[in-house]
Amino acid sequence: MSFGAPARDLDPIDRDASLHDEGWIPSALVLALAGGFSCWTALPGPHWFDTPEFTAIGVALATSHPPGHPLHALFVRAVTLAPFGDVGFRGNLSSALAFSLALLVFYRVLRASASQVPRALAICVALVPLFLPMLWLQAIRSEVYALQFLASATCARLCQRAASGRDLRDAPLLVLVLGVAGTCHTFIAALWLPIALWSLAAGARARLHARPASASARAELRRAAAACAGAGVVALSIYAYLPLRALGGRDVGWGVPDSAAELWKTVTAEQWQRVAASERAPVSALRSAHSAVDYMLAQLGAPASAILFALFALGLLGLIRARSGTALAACATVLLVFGARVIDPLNPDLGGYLLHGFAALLLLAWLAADAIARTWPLRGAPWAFALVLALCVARFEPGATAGARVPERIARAMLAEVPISGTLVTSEYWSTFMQWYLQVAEGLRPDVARVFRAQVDSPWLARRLASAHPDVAARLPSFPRSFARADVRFEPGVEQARLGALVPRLVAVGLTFQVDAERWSSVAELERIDARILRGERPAADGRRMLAYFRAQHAAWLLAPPAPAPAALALAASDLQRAERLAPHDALLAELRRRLAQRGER
Amino acid sequence: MRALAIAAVLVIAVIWTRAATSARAELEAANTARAAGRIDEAIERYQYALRGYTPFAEAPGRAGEALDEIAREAQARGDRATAIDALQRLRGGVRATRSLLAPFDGWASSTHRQLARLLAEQQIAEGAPAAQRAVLRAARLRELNRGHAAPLAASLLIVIAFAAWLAGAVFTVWRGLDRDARWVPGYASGGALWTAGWFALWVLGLWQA
Repeated sequence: MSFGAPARDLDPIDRDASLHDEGWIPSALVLALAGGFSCWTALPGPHWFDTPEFTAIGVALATSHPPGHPLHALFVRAVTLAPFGDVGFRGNLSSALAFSLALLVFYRVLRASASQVPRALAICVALVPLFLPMLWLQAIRSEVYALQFLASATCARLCQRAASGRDLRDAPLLVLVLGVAGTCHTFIAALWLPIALWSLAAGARARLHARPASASARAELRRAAAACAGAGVVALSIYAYLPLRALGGRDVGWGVPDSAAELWKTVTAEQWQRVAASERAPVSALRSAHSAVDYMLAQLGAPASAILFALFALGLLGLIRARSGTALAACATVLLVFGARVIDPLNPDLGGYLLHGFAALLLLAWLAADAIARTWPLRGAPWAFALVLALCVARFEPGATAGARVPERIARAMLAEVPISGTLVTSEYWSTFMQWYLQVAEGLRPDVARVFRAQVDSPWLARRLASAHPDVAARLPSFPRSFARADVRFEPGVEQARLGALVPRLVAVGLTFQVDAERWSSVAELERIDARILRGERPAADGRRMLAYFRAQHAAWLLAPPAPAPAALALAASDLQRAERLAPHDALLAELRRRLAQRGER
Repeated sequence: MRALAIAAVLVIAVIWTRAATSARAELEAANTARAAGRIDEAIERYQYALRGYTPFAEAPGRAGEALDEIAREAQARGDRATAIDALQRLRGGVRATRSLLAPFDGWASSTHRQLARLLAEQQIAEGAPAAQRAVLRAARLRELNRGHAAPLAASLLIVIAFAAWLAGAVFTVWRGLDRDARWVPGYASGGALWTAGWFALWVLGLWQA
């Protein structure tokens, strides 16, 4: 067994020339296939988690939760101006379009990394992310991650070009795109910072190496550095959006970043850092690493994972010998992204972060296959990717779209329980965001003030609420006492104890609770609401989990007083029964079942 | 580049087909539910059909008419809850389909008037003084006429100006510099001016929206 020539017989610029020669037809094919598939499978409307928020914020041109995501808001607004479907669907389409464009750029990164491998295989690799469930989910729902993936793929392509140092314009372009990426998702863009700096340094070194001891080379680099600084300033000026739209959307939006301090807090997401620091329990790195690998296997499936692993193993030596900067950058991305998964396993948005890690893994496998083809007598190694794509397509199920309307129906059902000119106190992020969506997209129930319980202590909530419902905003300082009124409904959710003396006075009136209501909802009423929410559909796994959680919280509120009313016990039993159907053997439900038995005995 | 344009057209065709077929399917499901007497489900599905608006599709318009008809029938038989539900869904569909086009805005004012009247009656039924009927109706109508979406003209200005100044920044780098990062005066100053001008318009749009 002998190794052939190292894989450096085609430098980056030659590869760019070859990419230039092939024209745009293969890239267009990737765009058409990815765009067609993701737009066809896009969710029909707002969904769980942050999805309704990002659409609402875009349509209202307001500010979303930290770090603010101004670029995403502008992008969503642009897409929602197109006359296809409603704004919920168009918000999801914005991700589908961004994801498809990202795959187009990803294809070009692949081609630029190994241009001698048949382009059909590069197309296969570029399409793989569409058939990995968690990555596909980023393409079909309104979220920041697809747009961030596009920014990251463009950064990757520009890093490849800038590292060669042949064209100094690539450096300011890279800085410009990195800055723009930062205004979509600060933290993911920050992951690119070391790789971009390394690429710029490599480019500068290549320049100096080409003309050693030349004063003109140093002058060129100084000019390029000045252009980089200018490009950075221009890109970051997108943040002007935040103070200019600080109170945009009135009571719909997060924070009021109209001062330097508030702007800094938003951009650095200081709020989450505080929450993360207070809630983060010690994690076992080994256990998290195991679950990260498990997660990866679940996405790719065992056969495709085995093929990719074999490619790594066989191509590793060739990769090391090639000393490829692209491979090093891909390694760094994988380590940074999956490292974040190990350190912070409870981050609910990890699918969006891991999207970048998966793309880097595919790039690494691609480079490994190229190295195998060059160094081993295995010229057909890259064809393994056709098999990987086939395996991913074969096991792909578009299950996430099942029961896609359920979250919207829950939000509508809760809102329907609020009296005219009343107040809905929301408890969960997703339901608050869904209320924002219904306000912005449909103008539903403009008479109702929505108060997000988790933020009642934040001054921005009062300022925003005052712009639409000043009378309710005036009562906020004495929350929860001042909300013990007949026209106020409370959504069940975490940290009920914060309602203090109101807890034993809460009466279930459907999905929500009212203080001192005259009568309890019956089990039959609750089941009728449930039937209207489900409409005979079986939601996808995410939906089942969220529904079970909602019912568990409803039951927990019913069981909170030391001696619940008999009606509360009956409702809690019904809640638990329906939740257990969705999430059998769940620990939280078992604990509530035990509490129900205890309270029942009393 | 022609290949990219063809791909873009294909993607748009997929989006159009998706919206049109889902609207048609929802309309059929709504008609079935209505015929079976499941009015609340029919109202919901008619709204989904309405929300599936796309140019030249027929189903959304028919769904809007059906919602209007259900509301009128419900009012005629004194079923206020169903009428409010149908009108709220109609109003929601009208708003949610607004884009560069506002295909159903013709329904907005009559829907708002009917809804304001029914909501005021609902409040009176729940204990508000009957003498306040006109005041309540005016208050509801005022609320219904308000909206959260950024105005269309300002949104267009913001989106176009943003795309233009970002493209201007790329142009300034790509044509305003040569491969050795030397300024190319005409392109550099022209690009910078273009970028600054559109940036100013973008700021103006954000401030005004």
